[in-house]
Amino acid sequence: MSDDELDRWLAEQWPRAYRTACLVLRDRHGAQDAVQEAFLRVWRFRDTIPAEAGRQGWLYRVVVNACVSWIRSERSRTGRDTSDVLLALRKDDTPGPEKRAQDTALTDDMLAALADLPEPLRVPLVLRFYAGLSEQEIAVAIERRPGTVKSRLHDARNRLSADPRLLAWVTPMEASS
Amino acid sequence: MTTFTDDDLSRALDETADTYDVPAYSSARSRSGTTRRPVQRKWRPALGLVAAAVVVSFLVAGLSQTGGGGSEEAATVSPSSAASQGGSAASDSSGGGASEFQIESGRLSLPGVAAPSSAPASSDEQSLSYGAGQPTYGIGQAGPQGDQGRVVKTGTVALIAKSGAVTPTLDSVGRAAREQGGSVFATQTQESGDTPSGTITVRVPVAQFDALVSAVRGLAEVRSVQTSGREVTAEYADLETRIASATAARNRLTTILGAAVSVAEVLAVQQQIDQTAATVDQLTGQLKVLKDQSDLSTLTVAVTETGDPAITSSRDRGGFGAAFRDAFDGFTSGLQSLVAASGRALLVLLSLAALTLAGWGLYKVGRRRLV
Repeated sequence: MSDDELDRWLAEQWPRAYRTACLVLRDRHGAQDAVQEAFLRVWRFRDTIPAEAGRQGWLYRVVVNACVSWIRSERSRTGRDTSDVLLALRKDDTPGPEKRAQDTALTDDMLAALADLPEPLRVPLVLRFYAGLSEQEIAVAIERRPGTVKSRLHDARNRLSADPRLLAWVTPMEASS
Repeated sequence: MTTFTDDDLSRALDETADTYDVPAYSSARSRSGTTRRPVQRKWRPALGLVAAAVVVSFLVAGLSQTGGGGSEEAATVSPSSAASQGGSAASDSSGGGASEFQIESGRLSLPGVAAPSSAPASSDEQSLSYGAGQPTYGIGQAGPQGDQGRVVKTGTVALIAKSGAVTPTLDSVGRAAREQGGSVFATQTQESGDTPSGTITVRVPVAQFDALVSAVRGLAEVRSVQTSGREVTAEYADLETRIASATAARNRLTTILGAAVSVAEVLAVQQQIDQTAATVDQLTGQLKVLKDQSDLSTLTVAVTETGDPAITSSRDRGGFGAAFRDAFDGFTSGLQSLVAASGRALLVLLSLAALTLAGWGLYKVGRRRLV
């Protein structure tokens, strides 16, 4: 992959990688720092980028590592978890469009539910159902076995399903069938 | 109970993520420059540590090889340093250039004089008459200190006497040895030709060895001095233990011999007794030799006259010639030391690498991933 191709590919990956980091970290600025750092690492070590098949998982492994590094540094710096700054960091403080305001309650519930998930469950969930990675790619990204990923996804789904705040997101059985 | 389907989860996360405004992409290319794989700044301290480890390894290896040997030591003193250390020897020194005398493998090579350990020499006039069957060198501290700290010490000194002073100098060496509680072990003189020379071997208690060397240095101009010491305490103790064990075995066999009935039994036991007795005798002999070597130190002093052609030629080679030769010798000896130390340095490096790997592993275990 040439430098130009890599730069274009990273630009394409930027929005989803950034929002993935947002869902993992629940911190816009932290997510931006982490993904920028991750992309910088990718660029510096572009000679080691794997072939097409494993590239996506490899990229998100770098992103996840950068997120973990950010969490560690944030914890050591502030001495607190980042989950308590959930809502304040979710969006810009400026008022949004009216529709977005209506959806805020739903997404806030989703964010709150995500915040309640422990990181070992939240990260695979976000990578699977937002970033669109396969279980194999997630295993590469978080450096765990595919079986572990499958188990964690199952646990995360069960926890969210049991959360009464998220009922509005669930498709009724009759409709889904 | 309701269950989130894959589509539900994807939709919920998509819509939730969409609430985050995506900032403009800042190209990693523009932030990192265009050079490929530069040495990252964070690795620079690590590279520095590796370089420091290599240097420390060589230092440790060098120190342990030169000074840390413990059981064996050797020193060669140049004429200039000998003169400066020898007190009155400085007054006898006539300026002293580079010496033709060489110390190799612990032996002193003198022009016209064979080294003690190489005797008998090919020339009849130069043959040295050391005690037949007796060890040439050897002293120790065993006498007053028992079996603790037994050391075999030897040394050689090369002196240049004034014209006609070879024999008086040799006599002075013998007298100095007697003053230190020692005795003359062997002497040899060569009066033929224009350059008379001689050697004398004296033995003194190990505690007086250094005092004797100092006294000898003051007798004439010093060409070279070499001393060495070898720790033999463990070897001595081992011999004693083996003798005690063999003696006990012999006594048990003697008891068994008394109970033997048949001729075959008597012969078999007697054979074992003979073998054990031979072992005891052999070990006792070794212990006796080692005790003798570690009781008395041996110093060999070679004396030549100022008119020795080899000395004269060496003195003519002064100035830049001697300086260049000294520089070359220093370079080669330094190189040899470096090569010799590389083995220990490699061992130290491997040990450090293993420790680093272990530490890194513990660090990784300690910093388990959050996800």
